[in-house]
Formats: sequence, structure tokens, C-alpha cells
Amino acid sequence: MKKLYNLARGTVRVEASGVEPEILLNKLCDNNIEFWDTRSEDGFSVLFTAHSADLTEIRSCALKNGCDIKILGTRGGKTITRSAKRRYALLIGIAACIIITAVSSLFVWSISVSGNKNMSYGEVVRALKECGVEYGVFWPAISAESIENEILLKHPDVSWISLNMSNSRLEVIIHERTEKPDIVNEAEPRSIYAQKSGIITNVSVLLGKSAVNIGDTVCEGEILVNGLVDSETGDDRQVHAIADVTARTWYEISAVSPLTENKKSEKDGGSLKLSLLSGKNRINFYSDSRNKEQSCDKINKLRYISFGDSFVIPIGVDIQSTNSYEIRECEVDREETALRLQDDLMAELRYRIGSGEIVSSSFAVTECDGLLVVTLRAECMENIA
Amino acid sequence: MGKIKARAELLSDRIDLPADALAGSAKLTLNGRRHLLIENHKGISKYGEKQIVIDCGNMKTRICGDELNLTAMDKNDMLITGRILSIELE
Repeated sequence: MKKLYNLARGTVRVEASGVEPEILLNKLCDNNIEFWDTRSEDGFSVLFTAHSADLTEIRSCALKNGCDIKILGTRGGKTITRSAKRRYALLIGIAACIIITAVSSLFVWSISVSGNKNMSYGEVVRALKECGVEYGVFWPAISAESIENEILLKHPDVSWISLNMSNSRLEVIIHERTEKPDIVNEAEPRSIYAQKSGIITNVSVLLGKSAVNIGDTVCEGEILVNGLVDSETGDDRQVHAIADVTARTWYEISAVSPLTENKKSEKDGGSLKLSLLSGKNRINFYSDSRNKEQSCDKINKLRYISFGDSFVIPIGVDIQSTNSYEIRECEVDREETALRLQDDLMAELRYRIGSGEIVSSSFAVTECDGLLVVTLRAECMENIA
Repeated sequence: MGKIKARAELLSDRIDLPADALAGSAKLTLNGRRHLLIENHKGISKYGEKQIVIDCGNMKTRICGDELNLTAMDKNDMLITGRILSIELE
């Protein structure tokens, strides 16, 4: 940075000769004249670099101290502007670059999406395309508000969207709609049934008439709390039963995985294809775009010229690499697969019991017909109402 | 002036203060053998490729070495680079 600053200000390489050139250096320091890169040639001359603007003062200091000054070279500052005046092509090029950059900033050359969870980047870009926003579109001709409204109408999953244009980068912020929870009508008469089979350990009835006792065994779908309660004053009345019924439950869940799997192994003979992108146009530096291999991975890397994160110029390269592979069948690591299945089964059990707790659990691993079978047996305590 | 400086150095010794803060004494910082930073100097007395003599107020510092360069210098500090072989205080 300092070098760039010095180049912009302009520097001069000076040779000071005299009986005691050191005194000149001391004087320059006293007068706050900045100099650097000092080198002693012999006992009577010193080379140093200083800013071009300080040259007059350096000369006057040298004159007072009996030193001769010789300019060895100049760099930067006015030298650059003076030489640039004659370079018309360079000036025209710089002006053209500035104009092209300014004009291209009115077009959308990059789309970034944030806030999407269920909708993919591709879906958002497609939704924008349906509303007329795509790569290379002239942004001032588009009303962001109408696009936002159109997307909200067409995509009920989106609850809020914002389009912000920063230079040539379109930033899309999306908030997706959260699902409405089930609303329970508490005025409606209802009984409570068992969701799962188990042995009742605790019954806590807030409203309704208990149909089971502690220690009873219930099956799935059996009535736990009746919504029809006795009345001392008249006929039986119907209520919306509310209760917590805790029971011991047992689970046996199995997961299977094949003992062999197909794995990719890379083959020799990958290829690299290069294309030049200019806006929507594309110049391919290859003649045959077909895939010669049957199985291959094709990876495209788009690189646009950009300044920082937001300023993108619609000129870039597309590097397409093709890696061919063949599929081989190989045996899986049994221990690793069993552990993975055990983790999956545990996650499934936790999902099934919700806020309940696992009292005990055990795993059994067997092999059957080329499959690895992992079985989870667990005893749990949970609310089955 | 010399006496005052010597007393100031003595005082800074007694009250455990760095001498460069109270007496304005020269401070030499040697990084490896290629960089020497001198603070609170009073100017150059002799300048050559093999030897540089710096005026540090109440003493002179002679730096001997090969390809010695005065990389940067201002009123208070200077940076000497090159292969430093010895530093003598006179």
C-alpha cells in the first residue's frame, strides 16, 4: 500500500555527493523530509529515494551543506500522467471499461438467494424466470414490487420475498410459510383413545370419565377416557375429555441394509472443455460436445469477472470437466453399517415416543439373504392418550 | 545538559521507569542480525556500507557489518538493515 502511495505521489532517486553527505541526511530529517532506501556508494556519496514534491527542498538543503545533487531517475506521479497523455489507446480503453461496467451494472448478471429452506435455488430462479427476471434482464425496466407480488400469488409456500439489486447482483431474500398447527375445538364432545398398546402406569384425568386403571393392559385404539360423564341432576352429559395417560410401551423396530454396494471408481480419460461467456452468448473452444463415455461426471464451473462480491461483469469462462468412472460392486464395512443403522433406529424411536423416555434398549444384528438386519428392542414410558 | 541526562537516567533506574521514557535515551532494538531499529537518535555521524556511526546524545553507536543500508529514517527513528556484525557504544 505504501509503495502504491509513493508511486501515486511520485518518487525521485537522488545521488548526493559531498565531503559529509551524512549531514545532508540529518538536515533532511530535521526538515521532516521523508526519504528511504538509502545506500552509501563510497565515502563521499549517498543514494536515497524521496518524494518528487520534496526535490526543491532537498536541493536547497544540499546547497547549504555543500553537497551536489544528481537525479538518477523518477517514478510515478506526474511521470505517469505525462506518459499517459500520449497513450490514446490506453485512455480510450480505460474509458470504455468504465462505460461498459457502468452499463452492465443495469443488467442482472448474478442472482443470490438466501432464506430458502424447502425451495431450492433452482426453483427460486425458475420462479423468477416465470415472472420475467433472468440473467441479462434490464433491471430498470422491471418493477420489483410487482415481481414480488406475482411470486407470492403463484407460490403459496412463500410468505415474504424481497428483491434487492446491488450493481449487477440481484439478491433474493425469501421467507417460507410455516404450516398452520391443527386447531382443536375444545367445545366438541370427544373421548380419548390409546394411540399405542401398553401397560398403564399413571392416569391423570382433567375432564371426562376414566375407563382404565393403573396396571391395566390396553391395546391401540382402546378407549382410555370416556367423554360421556354421569350427571347427578339429569341425563348423562358429553364433554371434551382431557387427560394424560402414561404407559409402559415396547418397541421392536428393524432396519436393513444390503451387504454390497456400488461404488464409483475413476477411470483415465477425463476431459476439460473451455467456453467463453459474454452475456447470453457462448463461444465454445471445442468442437464435439457429446459424451464419449457411458458413465461420467460432468462438472461445470462458471467464473465471471467480478469486483468484490457485488459487481459482476457478464464476461467469464465456463470450465467443463468430464470425469469418466465405472461402477464396481464391493462389500460394505459391516461394523460401520451396523452403527449407522443403530443411530437411525434410535432417531426413529425418539421420533415415535416424542417427549417420552426410553427405559431400556438393546440391539440385535443378523445377516439374512445378503442383507444386514439390525433390530432395536426398547421399553419406553410415554403418554399414549 | 549531559549531567542532567545522566541524572535523569539514574532517577529512571531508581524508580524503575524505562530510560527512554524519562531521559529520552536512545533505544536500540535488534531483530536477528539484519534489522536494527534505533529510537531517539540525534543524527548520523558517519555513513558507509561497512560502518555506520549514530549520534545517540550522550554516546555514539558504531554499527559494523556488510551491505549496511539506512532503510528508513526520520527525526526520531531509523532502521538499519544489512548483515550486522557488531554494535559498539562509545
